Amino acid sequence: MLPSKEPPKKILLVEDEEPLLNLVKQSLETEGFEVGVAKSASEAKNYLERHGVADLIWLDHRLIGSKNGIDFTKEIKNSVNIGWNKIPIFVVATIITEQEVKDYLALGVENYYLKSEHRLSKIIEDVKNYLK
Amino acid sequence: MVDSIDEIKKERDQLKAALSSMSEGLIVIGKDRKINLMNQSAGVLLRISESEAMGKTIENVFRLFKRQGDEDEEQTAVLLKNLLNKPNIINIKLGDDFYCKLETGASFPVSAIMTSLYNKSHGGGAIILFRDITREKRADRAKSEFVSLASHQLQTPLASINWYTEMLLGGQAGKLENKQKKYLEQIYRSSKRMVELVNSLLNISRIELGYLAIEPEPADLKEILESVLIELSSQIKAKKLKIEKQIDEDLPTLNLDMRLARVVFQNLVSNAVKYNKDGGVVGVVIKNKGSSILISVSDEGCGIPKEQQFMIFSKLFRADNAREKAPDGNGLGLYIVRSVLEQAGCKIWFESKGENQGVIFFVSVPASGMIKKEGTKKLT
Repeated sequence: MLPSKEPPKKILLVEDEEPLLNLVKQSLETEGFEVGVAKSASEAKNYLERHGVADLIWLDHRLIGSKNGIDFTKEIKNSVNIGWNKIPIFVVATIITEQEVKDYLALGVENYYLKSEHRLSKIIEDVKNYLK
Repeated sequence: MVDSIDEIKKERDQLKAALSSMSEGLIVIGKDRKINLMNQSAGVLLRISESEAMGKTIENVFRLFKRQGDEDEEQTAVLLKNLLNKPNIINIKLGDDFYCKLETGASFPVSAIMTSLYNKSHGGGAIILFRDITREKRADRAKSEFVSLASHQLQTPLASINWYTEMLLGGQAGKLENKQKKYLEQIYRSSKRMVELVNSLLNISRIELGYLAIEPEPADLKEILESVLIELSSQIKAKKLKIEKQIDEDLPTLNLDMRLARVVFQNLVSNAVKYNKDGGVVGVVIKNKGSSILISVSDEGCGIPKEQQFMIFSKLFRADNAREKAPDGNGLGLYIVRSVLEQAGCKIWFESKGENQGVIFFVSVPASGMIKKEGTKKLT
């Protein structure tokens, strides 16, 4: 009998751009992660409510709906009583201003990336190392 | 006799009518900078009557300012002193960032040309021709806003193209044949170029909309230069270039916006690398001139053709020989560098004897450093 394997780590992927959502999801799954997806802050919160918790949130800055990544991060970091504030957040943005970076860091996100400056494989590598 | 007086009167009336129908403002001043003549449009634009303006010194009536950092400097007296006292300056055309301030506190963006007047009987002077360019500026602003918006929108599909291509090249979708790999690599390179182009366009829209922040802090020029050289080391090695540095020992710590200083060095040094001949020399000199720091970056490359030199800082312009040598450029680098430096109170110019004679760029930074400017955006 094979030794029982650890359950896969859960990543919540919040990204509003369909082609990117599909690509990142597939790539993370290939690396053995279980991936939940959301295109808006409210979908992301629904996922967390349904699944209890995630091991990491991969978060785009611009999302569908009125709330952006910063609004969502604030809500997560304020949800102390249900423990969501402890979920690490990697911000992976298409475009982001200096002020927005400062806001994210002040809210306590783990990392932020610009899609045009980082290879997807590099970000996935960082996620893997972080969750080891 | 009567006939000739009538003739003179007629000519004078014709001239007067022509001057008052002009939509541009026209002012004629003497060598003492006092107003001798002013047309109707000048009076309307400057909110002053002809009789009131006569005999007044020009800088009290026509107050020109240049947008620069947070504190704009008054320019009329300086410009006219140069024009009236330096025989080699025949006319001065104002660039983009000038505006005219009225006594009421209101102001309007202005385009002007000042020409020296040679008149033996009156001892010289100057003509100033100017107009209000508020409408042009408005159209220009709308264009910059559109560019900014379009650039934002372009980033998203570009991110998709880049990451999908990376995956294919990484073999995540199966092994590739050599030819397939070669073509994909070309797609990847082109897409990276597109990202750079979009970033440059975004930077330009930030500069032109006045959103650019300049935040000087004590900085070490040498350090910035070294980090740029490290970044370019693979290209320098590939072309077997020699880097010759000559940096004064007594350089003071300068107040610079680090990010902008890097953009300047990156552009100037990477151009010196890109356009240099194989095995050529890239020279970087930093000199302490007391009231300023003079930086120069030189190369032994394709140079700038004489007849195209006046265009070199223009947006999207690329000299013919530069296009041949490096087809990848986008003609935005030097435009961004000059705009950034001018807003920060620094100067840039160049010397090139012509094609294949290399080029040397000079940047002068005042000892007081870059001028601080509040803004909401930084360059990417």
